[in-house]
Amino acid sequence: MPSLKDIQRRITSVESTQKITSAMKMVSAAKLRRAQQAVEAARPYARHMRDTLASVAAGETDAENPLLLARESVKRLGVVVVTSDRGLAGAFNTQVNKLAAQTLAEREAGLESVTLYLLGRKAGDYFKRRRPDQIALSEVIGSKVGYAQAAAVARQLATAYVNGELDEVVIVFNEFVTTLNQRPGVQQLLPIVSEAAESEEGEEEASPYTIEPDAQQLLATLAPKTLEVSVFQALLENQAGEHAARMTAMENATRNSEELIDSLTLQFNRARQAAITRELVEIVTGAQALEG
Amino acid sequence: MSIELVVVTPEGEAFSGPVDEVVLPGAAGEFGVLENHERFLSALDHGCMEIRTPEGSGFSAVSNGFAEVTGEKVVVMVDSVVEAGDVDVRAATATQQEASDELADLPDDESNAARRADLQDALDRANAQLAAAEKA
Repeated sequence: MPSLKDIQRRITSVESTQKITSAMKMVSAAKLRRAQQAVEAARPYARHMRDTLASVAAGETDAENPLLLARESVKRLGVVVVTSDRGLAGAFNTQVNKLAAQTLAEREAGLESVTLYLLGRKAGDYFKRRRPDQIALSEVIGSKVGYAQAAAVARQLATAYVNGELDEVVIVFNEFVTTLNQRPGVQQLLPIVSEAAESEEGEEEASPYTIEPDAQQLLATLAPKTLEVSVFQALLENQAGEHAARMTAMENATRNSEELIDSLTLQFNRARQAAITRELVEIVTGAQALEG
Repeated sequence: MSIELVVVTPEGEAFSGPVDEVVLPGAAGEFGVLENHERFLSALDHGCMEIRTPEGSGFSAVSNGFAEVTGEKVVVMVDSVVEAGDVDVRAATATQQEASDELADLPDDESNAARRADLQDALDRANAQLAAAEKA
């Protein structure tokens, strides 16, 4: 049975852990608000961009862009994995890394080579030990998601794709659905898929656009831009998801320490009561001995 | 007599609402869009966007992007939008000066291509902001 002092010491220790976790929760909540605004603000831009690309690609059959052309057989796969830089966010990063590893395992049989582009320290750490030879890029994201970083990665991917070093590129990241729900998913980046065929606007058989300067030139700027925006979007989703996941994890940790403190306090009180009873018994026994 | 205008940037929606006319810096020259404009797609340069509403004209500096026009709607997708009133004239003038100076000093060859493109971009951006500020 632990002594009173031992229990007291444990209570103090759990209490200070609780202070840390609840502070982290508060910080994450504040960061989440900002990250959520950023991701929601960027969504209309990304959506309009994809729509425009779809209408150009659908309208003009003779205008082509290498980034839109699919390869007949996919031999060289590029995988972009997006995680956060820091841990303590529950299963957030593990989910993405596992999904990426699983996707690779499934597809590897038909491939000649795999190239990894890792964004976020946790992805770097995970694959550094497992597939060190396949890493082409491993970067940390830093405290603020920048468009410039997304653009640089997108350019690198586009160049590799156009040069034939990659036949397909997918991106694995956590999509921010709600604060309690981040969904890890795999999305195709290259060749760029235009959803024109399924969109509602396609049904009304819209008349073709007049395009300036011309479709070919427009595609040449629009296609890389769309790619940049997709990568940027993934980084934003990841950032918002990270803070949401950490907030939830820290909330659970705070609640768990609360429970622990309660049960330790109970134990402490019992031990204290036992000690008092023992002392009383000793006194009474002593008094009886004197009387006798 | 109005057309719906939506201006979006990666940072969010900068403008949304009905306007009488919008004038945009197209890659092949400035163009204005009124109601019932033909379906039209254009790349945009750095430049000055003018929004005309019954209350008057508003000017903003936009940096390169795209505009998609359908009969009843104009969607403008650009990297950034700075309203004429928000232009920091001193900063823009300084950028303009620095960029054009460095551009003049850099020899025009392969190794400097990326740096030159960046500088040109900064210069165009600053010029567009100053032009917008002047018009307002």
